[in-house]
Amino acid sequence: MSYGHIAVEGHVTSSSSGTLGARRARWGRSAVAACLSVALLGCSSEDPGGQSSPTAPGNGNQDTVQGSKDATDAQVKPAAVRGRCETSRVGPGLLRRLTRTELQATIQDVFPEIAADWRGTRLSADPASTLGFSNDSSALLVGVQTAGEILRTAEDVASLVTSEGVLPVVLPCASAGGEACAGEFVDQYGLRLFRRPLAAEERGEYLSLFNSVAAESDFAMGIKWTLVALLQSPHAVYRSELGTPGDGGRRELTQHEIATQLAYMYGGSTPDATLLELAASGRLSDPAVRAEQARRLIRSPRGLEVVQEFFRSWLGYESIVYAQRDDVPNFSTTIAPDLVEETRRFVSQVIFEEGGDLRDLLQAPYTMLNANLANYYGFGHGADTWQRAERPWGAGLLSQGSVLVSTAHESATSPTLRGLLVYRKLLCNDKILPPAIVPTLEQSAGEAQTTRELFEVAHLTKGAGCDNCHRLFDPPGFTFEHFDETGRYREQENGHPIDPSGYLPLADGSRVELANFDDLVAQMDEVPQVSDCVSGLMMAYMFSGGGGQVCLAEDERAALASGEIGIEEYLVRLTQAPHFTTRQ
Amino acid sequence: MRRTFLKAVGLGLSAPLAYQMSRLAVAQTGDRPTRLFIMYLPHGVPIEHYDPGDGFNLDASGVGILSPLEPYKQYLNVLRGVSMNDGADNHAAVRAMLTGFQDGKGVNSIDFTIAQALNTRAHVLGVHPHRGWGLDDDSRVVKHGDWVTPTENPADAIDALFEGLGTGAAPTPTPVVDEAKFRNAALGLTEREIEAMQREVTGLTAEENKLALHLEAIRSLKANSGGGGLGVISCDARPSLPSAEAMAGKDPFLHEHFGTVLDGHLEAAAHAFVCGTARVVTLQTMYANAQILMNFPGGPGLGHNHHDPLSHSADEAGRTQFAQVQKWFYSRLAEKFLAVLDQPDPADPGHTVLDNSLVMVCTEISDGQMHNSAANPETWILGAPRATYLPFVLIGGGGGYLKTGQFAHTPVMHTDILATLAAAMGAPVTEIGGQSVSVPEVLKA
Repeated sequence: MSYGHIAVEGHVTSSSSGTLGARRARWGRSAVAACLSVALLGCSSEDPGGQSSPTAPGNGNQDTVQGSKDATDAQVKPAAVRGRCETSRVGPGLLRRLTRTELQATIQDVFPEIAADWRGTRLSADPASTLGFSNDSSALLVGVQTAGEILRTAEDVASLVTSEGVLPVVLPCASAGGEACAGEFVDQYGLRLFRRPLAAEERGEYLSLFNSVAAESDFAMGIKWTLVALLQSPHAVYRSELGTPGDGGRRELTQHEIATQLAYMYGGSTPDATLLELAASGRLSDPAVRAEQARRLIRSPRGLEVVQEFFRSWLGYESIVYAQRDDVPNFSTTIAPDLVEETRRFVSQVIFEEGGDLRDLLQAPYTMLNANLANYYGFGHGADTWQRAERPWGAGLLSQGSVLVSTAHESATSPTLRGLLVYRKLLCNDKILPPAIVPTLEQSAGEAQTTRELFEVAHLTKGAGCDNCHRLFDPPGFTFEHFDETGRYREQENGHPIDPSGYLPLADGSRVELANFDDLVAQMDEVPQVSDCVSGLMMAYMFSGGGGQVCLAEDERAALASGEIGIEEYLVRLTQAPHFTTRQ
Repeated sequence: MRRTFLKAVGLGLSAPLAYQMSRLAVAQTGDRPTRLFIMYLPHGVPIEHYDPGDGFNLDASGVGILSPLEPYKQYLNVLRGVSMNDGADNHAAVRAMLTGFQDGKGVNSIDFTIAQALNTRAHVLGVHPHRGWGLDDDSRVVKHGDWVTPTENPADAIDALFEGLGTGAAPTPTPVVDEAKFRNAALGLTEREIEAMQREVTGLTAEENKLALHLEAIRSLKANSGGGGLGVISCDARPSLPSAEAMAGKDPFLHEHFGTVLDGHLEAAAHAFVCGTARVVTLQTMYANAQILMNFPGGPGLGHNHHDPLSHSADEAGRTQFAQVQKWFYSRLAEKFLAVLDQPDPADPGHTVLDNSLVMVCTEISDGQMHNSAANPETWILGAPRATYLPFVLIGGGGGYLKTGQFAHTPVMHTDILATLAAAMGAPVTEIGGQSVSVPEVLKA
């Protein structure tokens, strides 16, 4: 869900097939006009990236607004999510709709009896927020489509649960039937689905529904439609983070709300018996208990997936399973899945096996390979099983094959896409909109011999206007040029030497000169903007957007930035932040 | 209704068909049974290969993008001079295309408005309608309260499009219980719960809006719990849908399946129209900025991405290639959809289904390279000035409402074209998003 891709996808054309020398075209009048229009208008940019201001209702579907239209050089505009504060704040109370994945996991955990026959939730893909995450509470709405999908999901599940072979297992008293048995069902499964005990009035409503349906059909039908209502209830569909009124306008989350937050944030599913018991006994007010539960849950299979989903959303590398590569037949089926798995295992190794921090993530001198990828890359052990392999080139997350492929075209690299990866995803700068008319690179080819030269001529020629924006992200992108569009190392390009130098523009207007890619990842460790950005994105993801509030866990972010704690511990320590138990 | 159902069963009809017949008692009668199909195809057209000229010759311009529609020329309205409303421009106009306003602010897309007025369901299908990770700004086209993620796999779309029709297998012997009433009772409980929850979030504006949207959705489900068709079903069982069925269990986002997915959706929608089980369908083909190679099996055979370089082509060769691609999409529409509709309408045998249907093909920009969404009488293309406009094609008689077989001069905002759809479907609107709209006179029969 990399918006860096979206910002310029298609507006930075690759070389199509053939050598650079074969891809020449005349420079049309429209092309000149395009860049001149950029020079006159400057770069337009979106509102502070990805997070609405604390004073405005959060809305993942942010409007694109035009920025300054003067002719000065483009200004780097930092995204709000990167912002740091002296002290931590708390966000507003909110209702957080379950994501498709969370709903799936919830039903699987509550009704394991139907696992063999249930086709899964009917929900469509969740919408992405402007930060690229699909768990943002402000973007997860229930319109007509989603309400219909939830209803159909509920009917599917309820039909299976009340089927002849399953109902007696789920509800042993079903053979006797009657309202008392229905009451047992409502109590037991209402608690699991609402993640709290039902109030007396609520229980009464559900039993009333049961009785009205059963009277016109039978016990099983009554239970079926009672369950449909439970599953599509707003109390099941939304995770409540409203709290109860406290002092100074603050609202303290209830024990069950805290249990729910722990369960989904770290375990990706509904509270289990342990959490429900801790909630019932009031022990989740204890920070140590919360941390202990977070540590337990984040290491569960679903908890590990919650963390993996951050990386997939943040960098968007999973999209390569649909990619094609001119030089690699059947790339999408023979190589791409292993590249995705490589990154998955790399993330797990760094964060969970080695307790790594941001520096380790960006500079780790190893990756995880199987025999297929060892052969593909040309280094490694060649063993059938996945194993750690020391790198002869590249380092860390940004040189993962999946990331390199996702920021390139079918037959050429793209310094712009790779530069935007750094610009948007590591520095959290605002999305910059391309102008309406963008000439193809072929029109700019001239005498360029390498991709870098082509991009320099097309994008950075003074006076053409395109450099107004491209100077912000093409230069860091040049440092990737030793990695080709297949994610592999190349010493030279079409027989010509590669110049991997560049620079990193910073928000304060300064820039850091870079000799090559290794220099890029080393320098990012020195730039506070990077740790602020990544810690801010992780925080926004874990708190599902925080209702638009930033600065939710400042002590914890500082500890991560200083190297005091690793990434896993940072995520666990979010349970200690005021926002974890309080809203306003 | 129950009496009719039991009588139908007694006559030996299958339970699902009998159930549908029982709803005839409350079905809409009188007006012709109109259907609406909207097809979104991004990135505009190279006008020099599209414009049929004053002679209304579909082959007049270069490649002749519209030439696959020649067999249906008498049903065509090719519109000239339309501009995108609300100043929506560039690819961002994709969100205004069916809503009428930038980002669809406060307005639902026209398919939803029409479907609600007709008490039917608006189906939304998609061919690679978004990037692999989900809906984003480039792929927000249809809005039903909130932006809709289209059904991506035609094999999955069949159930909804043919709701009420079985597969033709022998009916089960057990008595059928009408669960619609129970469904509505469950929805009623949900409705009350949301209303109660609204009181808990007073002062939290975002959450209030969230619950208001949810409540409206639940009420819409309650109101439309009767189904998505004409109310008159003419098929005993689902027809054979080879392309749609071929996608069962397959990933609709795999590049090699693009052509099959498109054909599957067109085929399923067309037959659903004939059977009367669906009445309003939108097909979202790709999304703005879609970088999808046009060399999938059965496709246009070009190994270039649809958006860039194809739609961005400034040179003659590139623009010709783009025209060939857009022409291919029209050819699939003609072969897989229009050809099916060109038969006597079972619900109105004196006319064809195409007579009673209205198909709209639309896109968010005019010229792919210039990215304009407003009509411009003098756009410089290949060294010569040409008139460009937002290309809208209407196909079908709209139940007799439309005058057809013309290259119509319609220098209006596109919201007037959306109003034309509504009027033809028997759900006229006088305003969209607070803005007055009207049907261009030249389109009225």
